[in-house]
Amino acid sequence: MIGRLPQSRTTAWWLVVVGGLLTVVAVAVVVSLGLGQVNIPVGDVWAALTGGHEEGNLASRIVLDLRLPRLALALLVGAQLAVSGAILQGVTRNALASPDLLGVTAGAGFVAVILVLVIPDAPRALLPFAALAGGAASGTIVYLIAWKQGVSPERLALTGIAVTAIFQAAVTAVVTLSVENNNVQLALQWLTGSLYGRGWEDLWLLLPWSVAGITVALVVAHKVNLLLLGDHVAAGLGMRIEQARMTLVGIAVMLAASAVSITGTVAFIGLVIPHLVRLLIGADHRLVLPVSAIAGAILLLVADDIARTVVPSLEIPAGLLTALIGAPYFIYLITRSKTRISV
Amino acid sequence: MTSIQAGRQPHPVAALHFGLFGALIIGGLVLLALGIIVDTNVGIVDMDLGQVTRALLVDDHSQARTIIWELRFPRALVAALVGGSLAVAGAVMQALTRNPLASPSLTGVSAGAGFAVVLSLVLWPARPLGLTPLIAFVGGMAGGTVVFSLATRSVVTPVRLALAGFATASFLLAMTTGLLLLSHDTVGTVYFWLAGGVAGRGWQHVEVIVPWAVVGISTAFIMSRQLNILLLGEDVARGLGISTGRTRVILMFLAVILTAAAVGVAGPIGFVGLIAPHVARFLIGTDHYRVIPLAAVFGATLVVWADVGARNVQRPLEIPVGIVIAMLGGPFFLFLARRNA
Repeated sequence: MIGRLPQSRTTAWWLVVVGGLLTVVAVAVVVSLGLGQVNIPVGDVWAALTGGHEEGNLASRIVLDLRLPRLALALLVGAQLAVSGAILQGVTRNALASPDLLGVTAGAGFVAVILVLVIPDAPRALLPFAALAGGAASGTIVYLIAWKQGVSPERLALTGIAVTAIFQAAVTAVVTLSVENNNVQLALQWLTGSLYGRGWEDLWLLLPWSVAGITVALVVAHKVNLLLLGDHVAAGLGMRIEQARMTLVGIAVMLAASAVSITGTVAFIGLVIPHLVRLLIGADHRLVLPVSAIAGAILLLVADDIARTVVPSLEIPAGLLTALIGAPYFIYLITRSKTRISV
Repeated sequence: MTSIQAGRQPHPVAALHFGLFGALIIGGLVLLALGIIVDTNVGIVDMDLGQVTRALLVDDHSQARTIIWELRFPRALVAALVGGSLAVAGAVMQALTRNPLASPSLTGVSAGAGFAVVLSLVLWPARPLGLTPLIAFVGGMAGGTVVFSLATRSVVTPVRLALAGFATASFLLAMTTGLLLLSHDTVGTVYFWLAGGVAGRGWQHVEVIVPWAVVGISTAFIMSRQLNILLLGEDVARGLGISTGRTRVILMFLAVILTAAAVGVAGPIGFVGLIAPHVARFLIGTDHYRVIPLAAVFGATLVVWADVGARNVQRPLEIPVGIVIAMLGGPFFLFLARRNA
């Protein structure tokens, strides 16, 4: 179970948390815009952002054309995955749930790999749309299979694992049968999750999903609180359980699928961030959701910064780093005994 | 879900029970033998069954004998040994954690072993073949730590265990993919290995896996009494004079050893360790003196026949056998999930 409701945290405390996180975002943004193969001083970054440079200035082009859209994408994708994970952990009443668990990432990955390896002539611009469709379809399949006079959280989780396993096998099959294909590197990069080479057009693709998804999620966040009380209590309080569950899972799927469709399968953000946030501010999801969004954005931004800069000649996929950061925390969490957020 | 709680006795009459067990073992072995013969029959050079059987039994120095004896027969043998090892590993894990969803692939043991082997393929391509199971063992222990420590401390629900295993496995999968991505040259071979398969396996692979598989499976059989008692719960087991801590550690080592031997030779093939013990328990009940041998035979049969499928789906191309089994095992898992939760 995911802790008790409501935790008695004061308003002041959560203002401190939010304020602190927003400060971290601001600092991270400035630092990320300056860091890279070419390091740009803060003053120049500021000048570029405010239009203080003349047309065609190199620093200004690097900041505005390359780093700014990539940074914005990192923030959005991180936020979406974290919110998606927070919703799913609430709905399944399981602190180990994550967007990967609903088969969303695996389904998106499967479609993406098919597109990249089996139909190499297909225009690359189709990739996000195909992945989005694949992720959403896969999430729907999991939901439908798990349906047996309603969806129990346990059945949803197990079904997700099974469907994910099937998709992963299919992905492996496709990659194995096309090892001669030049696009294998691209496919693998996509499967690990990377922001390499993403630009403004990707950002414009994602933005509507991001804004709409996160807004709706925040509006319906109180339903998560009710579901956490258990089906009987929630029903007793006049809630339509299945309807609420379907709405929430639908939002989570759209958030995760659209995020993954741009970057590929970035791991562990949706699993780890909501945990961390609940430790900080308690289990009221009206607060957990927005704070998760900010924290998730920070995690992916920092991971992508490390990925870009640690070995400048080599683009490490950001998804590898989120896994490296997230997994130790997860293991610490799971091996700790008698936690408030037991697993 | 076929319950793994102790005490389920589907056939009260012991004699009938043993008759059923004998029939199942013999039936399984016949299916296995048939599978091996059919598996050795498939390939680029077509042969009829008579030729195959003769080539298996007599060394007449013909080309057929070389193809069958040097290439196809050891491959089928590896498939059988891998299947048997994984199935018994799964049966042991399920009893040990008292959890019907425990299995090498759902606990992160397979993924850990797979990651360790990929790491060794990238860093030390020229390592001796016999070392692979050891490397896989180290990785498997690391991969299984999270789930086992979770399962040992208290009785966790199947869902929690599966979730913990899933998270561990997806972490290791991400690491493996990242590793492949950063080591451009080896992608093809490593990826094929990672899919789990027995293509191109020969006598040297049989030699690598035989000692591990034989020792592991027999030890599991010998420890059936402990497995049965552990199913009764911690208190009863202690009351019956079992040192549960030590027994658990030994059994965990055993499960990881069997998994590592299989993964080291054939890559991480999933679901065998889930399916075979379930089918065995469904048919014969929960007495591990019967479950272990039956699961071993079923697991071997499953992988051998899956290999037959893997070689025939896209002739002359082969798909890794692990994929065929995942296509069977995924739906089986779905079935378990729907029944259970």
